Amino acid sequence: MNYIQLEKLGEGTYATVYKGRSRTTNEIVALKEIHLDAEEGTPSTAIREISLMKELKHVNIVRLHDVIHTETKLVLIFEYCEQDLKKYMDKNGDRGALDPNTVRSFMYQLLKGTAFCHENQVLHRDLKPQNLLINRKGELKLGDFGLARAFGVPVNTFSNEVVTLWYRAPDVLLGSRTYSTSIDVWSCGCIFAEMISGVPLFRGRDNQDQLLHIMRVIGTPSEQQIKTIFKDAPDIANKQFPRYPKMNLQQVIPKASPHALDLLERLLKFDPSERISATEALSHPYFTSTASSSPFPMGAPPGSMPPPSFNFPHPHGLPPQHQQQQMQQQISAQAYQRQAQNIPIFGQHNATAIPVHAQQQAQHVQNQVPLAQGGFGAMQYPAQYGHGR
Amino acid sequence: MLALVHPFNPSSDVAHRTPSSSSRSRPSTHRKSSSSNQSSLSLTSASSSTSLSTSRHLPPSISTSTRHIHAPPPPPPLRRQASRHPSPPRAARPPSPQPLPPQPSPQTPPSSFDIHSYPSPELLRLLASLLTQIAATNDNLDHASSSSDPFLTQPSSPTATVDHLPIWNTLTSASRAALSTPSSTLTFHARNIPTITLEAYLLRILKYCPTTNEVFLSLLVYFDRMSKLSADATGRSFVIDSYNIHRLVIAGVTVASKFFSDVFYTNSRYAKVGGLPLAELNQLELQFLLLNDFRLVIPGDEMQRYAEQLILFSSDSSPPSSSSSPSTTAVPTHAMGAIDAFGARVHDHPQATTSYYHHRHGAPESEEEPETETEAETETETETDGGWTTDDEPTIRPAHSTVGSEDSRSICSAQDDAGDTEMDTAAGEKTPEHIAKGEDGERTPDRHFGKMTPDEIMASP
Repeated sequence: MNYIQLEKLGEGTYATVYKGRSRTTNEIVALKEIHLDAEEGTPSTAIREISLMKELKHVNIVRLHDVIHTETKLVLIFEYCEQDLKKYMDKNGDRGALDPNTVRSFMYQLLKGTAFCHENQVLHRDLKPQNLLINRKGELKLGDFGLARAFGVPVNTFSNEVVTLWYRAPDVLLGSRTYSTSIDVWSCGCIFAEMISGVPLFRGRDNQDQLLHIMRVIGTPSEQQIKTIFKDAPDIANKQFPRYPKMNLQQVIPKASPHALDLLERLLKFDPSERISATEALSHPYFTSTASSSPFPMGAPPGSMPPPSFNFPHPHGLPPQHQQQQMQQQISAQAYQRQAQNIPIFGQHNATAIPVHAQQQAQHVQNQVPLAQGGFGAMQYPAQYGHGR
Repeated sequence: MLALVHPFNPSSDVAHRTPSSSSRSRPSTHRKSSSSNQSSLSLTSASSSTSLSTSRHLPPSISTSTRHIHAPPPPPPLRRQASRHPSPPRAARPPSPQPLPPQPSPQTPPSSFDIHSYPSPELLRLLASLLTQIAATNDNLDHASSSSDPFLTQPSSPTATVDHLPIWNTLTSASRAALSTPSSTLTFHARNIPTITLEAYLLRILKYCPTTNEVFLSLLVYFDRMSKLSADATGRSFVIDSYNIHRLVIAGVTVASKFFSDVFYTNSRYAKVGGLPLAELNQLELQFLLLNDFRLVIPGDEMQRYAEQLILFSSDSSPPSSSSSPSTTAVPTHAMGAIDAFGARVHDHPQATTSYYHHRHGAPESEEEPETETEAETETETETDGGWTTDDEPTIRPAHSTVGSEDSRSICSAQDDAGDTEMDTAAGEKTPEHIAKGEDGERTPDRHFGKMTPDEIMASP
């Protein structure tokens, strides 16, 4: 194989992920080894992941570089990302909560990647912080497309066993199998709230409990509404639910700005048809308004907000090798559990000598200081943003 | 590529038509000579040349297009948007007795054709008809121009041509490796032509692994892509013929179900339904993916186009579907003739439709095919190296296979590991993937499933 296998990053049910380095370019990648099961042949997750990610080339989607077939396994070569959003929040957030600018940057990128999937007729179906990868440039990328599926072809065999419970849309919780892109939008809303507050928004124990958690916050729809929403599914339409009034989201997420709350509300509509689309969300005032408490230059065009200031030199400037080691230690295997991602180019890395761990290091030292702050405004949003492919 | 394209696009790529149309006339003249080099196919030669005579008339367009498959490097522009002129040069066959049975009027190439609600058995009938015709045509071309047969006689260095083709660099390493290894296409090549008709085979899959029309229709798209990719990337062709079509179908259904649907079955179930050992299906599945370079996404309009062309095909060349009861084959006569000829039966009836039907369906017990066995991939490769000899002699079995009284007459290798016991357990087995409607699997009573073992179904006793 053209890659040197480095340390193991994580192990999932159908794959093991290693860090790897290209023999030819020295590029650092993630190697996701797919176990070819004797009973199952090629796992459907792998089939979907490969065939979908091959076509989804976008800066906010983890890039699948190549697929290699060795005698007993398939190896997927992914772009390498240092960590996932969950870890990022744990490490860099204030008890998990990210500062407003980072939230906005990540949210923008999340919606951008999601919108791109949807434009290309792909449902991700498992958006959650663990599946969003962050590289050291502060780019957020959708990963783990094992549950994803194309929806262009109307095969009406949708499962409702999709999406990790806490991020699962109410219509799916209710058993809908005719869902579409709106289920990803719901997940985006949950992630949005979680980035702001530091904790998952709806933490149910099971399907039913999850539904109640949701209704307690966004209110129980009237019977009439439910009938309308599920007019094609009478068994759902006739269910009875406790009647909860809608809560003021401000109380639930005190830290959120008014614009953020407005966007959140649009993302978290009980009725899937009322939910804003990912594309529409991108032009919400939360992103476009300059009036908000942002340190952005006035009149900055949408999408111009910089990613978190990951590229800033560490004040104590560790030597690169040292940094590298530290970084490796910091990358937890868990982050890679079910995905492979990665961002490479160590040459560049060394050249600029600014890496993440520097930043992370700082984090440890100054704990609780929202990391991103320093860098914002100073950096240009990567030029690729806004470009489809 | 599939024949579909050209029937509706008679004027496209003229350059390729010339050699191809000549090939059309070739079969009868060249067959004899070519057959001598190919012991494997020799037995068909004498008879099938007759069977291919004008009365059998391959639709010219079909043979034209299949000819592309054999056409050396500059791969034909396989643009599918081919205008849909339902007027391919039709041969002098008397207008087919009756339009297709079911209501969806095939004569009105429905731009509004609803893939989803089209009756599946009917769709499968059309699909089988088309694929059988393609396969049969290619079978004949193989005989006619053995030199261009990539399977049998082209040890031409694939790697040599490989690198210059621009598409090459866009492929995954895995696919490149597969494409430059002739054995990956050989994986699909069965030892003998399975005796189960394609329609019966598809219906069997529908029965035991129910899925949607889109999954079946996607086979056409994928077969087309595989052919095109092979031609574009390596200059070698990937030919669908009677030897590999069944295996392509079961591999394709497995892949497409896993890709499109949240409801699918275990590979062991697909293997049993498909009548081949699990290990072999796994292998085919992977090769299928690689030879498609994992390009499985099918835009809605593309799917629709294929559906419409399939309908058009059926209205153009509506087969003598007089006897199209579900388990009956309603494939074009010439196709049947080709298959028959292979089995050294019905040699001298150019229009042997009836005798064929009789033969096959009237008295299946009397069929004399001794072995429908095929070999495992490894075996295939060895065979290729050492000179291809396929005939009706019993297959050379891998050492570990059973040579019991019960022959494994499947489309698979000799490894007869799909015993009845396994079949029974598998039938009721509900896999985790039965997410949305696992009942489908259970609806098939063990009893039935057990009864219709691949072995029995694949071969005529």
